[in-house]
Amino acid sequence: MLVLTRKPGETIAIGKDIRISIFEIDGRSVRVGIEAPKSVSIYRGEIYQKVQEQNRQAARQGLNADMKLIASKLSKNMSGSAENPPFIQNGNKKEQFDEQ
Amino acid sequence: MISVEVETEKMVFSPVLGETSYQEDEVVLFPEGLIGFENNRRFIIKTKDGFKPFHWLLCLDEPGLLFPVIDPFLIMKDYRPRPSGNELQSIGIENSHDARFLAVVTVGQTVDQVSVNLRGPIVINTSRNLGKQIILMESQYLVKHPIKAGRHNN
Repeated sequence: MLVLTRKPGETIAIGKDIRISIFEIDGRSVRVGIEAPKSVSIYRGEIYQKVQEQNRQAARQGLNADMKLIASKLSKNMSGSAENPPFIQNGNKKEQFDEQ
Repeated sequence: MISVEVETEKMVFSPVLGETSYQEDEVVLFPEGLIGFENNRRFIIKTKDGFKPFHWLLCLDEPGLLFPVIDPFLIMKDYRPRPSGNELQSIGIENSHDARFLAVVTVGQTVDQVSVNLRGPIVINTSRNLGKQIILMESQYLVKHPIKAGRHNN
């Protein structure tokens, strides 16, 4: 890993297509600007890691979990009215709007 | 003399699904793989009775690698994934009408703790058989959105 120390106003160039600009430091946060081709995806590191971990877990568990049992339980819940499948309301609860 | 090209049926052996046949035109190419699985590029999506509404995203490069997935709109009717910028250009999607979404499913400690990744959906260009997993900027959607299979809604 390359470690650099930069001041606000300074930049970092990665290859020919990516530029990182250090804007300001505010308390314990630093504001960073990133210029990159639109084809390059940029994520906060922790969310990338969370998704990666969820993929790994899914791949592992898909092999061991009884997906048929889960599917039959899920199908039962979904056989209610097509307009209001029972568990969909959970998706709209306020507490699920927190940044994870 | 007329020559006819017949689509040959191919087979792959995978855990859970066993011997699985597929046609080449079913293969979905993920140029960037999946998040954390960037070297896994060729997948097929299999739906088998008994597993519905789940589908299986099976990697042809590594048949032991398969992901249970589900249509996220079955879980959240008003799910509104909004890919940012030109994220989907790399798989040739101009607007979300060309897109099919799938969410990766994980199971917790018990069968009741099933969750789906609504924050990082898989997007498929069905007309070109290209796929990509994206991470939505909206933080309202969870990586582990519980679907509470098996419990009656309260």
